[in-house]
Amino acid sequence: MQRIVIVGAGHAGVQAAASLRDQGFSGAIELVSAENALPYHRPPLSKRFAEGLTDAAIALRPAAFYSAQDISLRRATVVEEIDASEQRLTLSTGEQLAYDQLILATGSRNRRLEVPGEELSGIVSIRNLGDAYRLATSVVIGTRAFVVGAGYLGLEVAAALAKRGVKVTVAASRPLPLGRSVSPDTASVLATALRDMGIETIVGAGISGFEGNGRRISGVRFADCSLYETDLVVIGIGAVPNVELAQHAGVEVDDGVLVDAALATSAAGISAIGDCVRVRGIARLESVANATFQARCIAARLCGRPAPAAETPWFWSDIGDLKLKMVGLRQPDDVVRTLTADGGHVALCFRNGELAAVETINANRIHVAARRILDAGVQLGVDAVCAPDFDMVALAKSLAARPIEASRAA
Amino acid sequence: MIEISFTEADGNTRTLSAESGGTLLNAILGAGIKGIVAECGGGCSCGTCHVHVAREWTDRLPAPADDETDMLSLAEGVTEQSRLACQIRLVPELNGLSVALPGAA
Repeated sequence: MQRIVIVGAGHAGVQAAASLRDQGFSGAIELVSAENALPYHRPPLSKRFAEGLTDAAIALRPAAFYSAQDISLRRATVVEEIDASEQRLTLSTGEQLAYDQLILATGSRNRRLEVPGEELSGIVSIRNLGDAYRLATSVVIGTRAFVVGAGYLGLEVAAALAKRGVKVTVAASRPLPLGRSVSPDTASVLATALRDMGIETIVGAGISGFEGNGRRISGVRFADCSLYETDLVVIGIGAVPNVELAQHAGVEVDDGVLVDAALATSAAGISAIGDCVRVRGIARLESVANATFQARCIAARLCGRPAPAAETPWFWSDIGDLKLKMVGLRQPDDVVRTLTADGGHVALCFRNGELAAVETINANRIHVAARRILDAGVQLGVDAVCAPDFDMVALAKSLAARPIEASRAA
Repeated sequence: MIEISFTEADGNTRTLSAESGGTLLNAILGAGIKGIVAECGGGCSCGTCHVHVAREWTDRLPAPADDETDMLSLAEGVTEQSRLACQIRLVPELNGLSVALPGAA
């Protein structure tokens, strides 16, 4: 194989390039990024935007990495079109770029709140570095902020703003924050913590539009015609996968670029990884852990090596000083038992009587232990886990750790 | 610039150089060391940048915070020399630091 082209230089794309070299691929690697910035970590954008992020501080890899690994990074270059039959891309530079294998890592974009006034300045949605800079510079003493959406992004931003002394109101569609993502038990703990941070929550208020003072946001208009004055609006109402490029090339798409378990799309020579994909039969996962894991998997496959050991999906979020971590995919019908451990909150989610997911707030050791237990496929019933002398960390320690070579195979 | 002696999983030792002020993780990622994924970007959340610090250096580093100890508590190949590279800030006094990937010969 001569040339692998990767479209998108987020976590998935950059990790795929790095893992291909790790796995011994010696052909050409072309990494095409629509953005001009050196590829960077996204989680800090919503969590630490106010700390004066510098390009170097959040770079996924220093600039020297790409040249040392002989990875051609094309910045500020958009892929306009894929010709799947000719195995060739058309770039915004006018250039044609042939590939032997194509990896789509096009990510997702924030869902828009399509109401009158959405174009006013001071309305921010965080996805890229420019958004984070815009938000950071909007925060001055006495700012009032209105955050639309009580998902991870909205809450991370709300907590970070509150920490800067901004008066924050969050508009939520459900009674409990993160209501779609975590158990009601964990969401209740979060709700209390948000109140303690001085964050006010409005539930179920329909937003009919934004009002401006000139071109700048001055207030949020609700469906009942009431007006909420604010200096800043942050929209965090979910993301949509960037599938258009694949779709136009005839690749099968359904809430994400559809891939099989090996991350192959319906088109020969085209794979896809990260936030833009949905693996057939399961819901689309948006997480850094998933993106980097899939990147390691695709690199192994293209290099003819065994796939890395399967990982139970895991997620993390820093909401102010709360370190929220989840392992396993919770289902709404799971039976939840909570306990206090390690000085933090732990929610154990059981499905068909067995431990299926664990949510923790400020209880890292339990999270790490739960990851090892679920990764190992150990089946734990409700009675066993809720017995007074049960020690999750001790159980995890007793499990043989995955061999270092295998876990580092990518 | 700070020079770090780094032993990779295959036992080969390389010298990395990095600017003072960054983290050991940044230096490792810049050098393209195999096997370090570093999913969380230095947030002490993923535990994938586990390294072993040479014995003569362990006492010369600031002690790990609770978060780091927790992440390491169940890491593969953990020893008294284990640290997370993302939590080690490179200051001039660390010139000559010697670290290895767990599992390195």
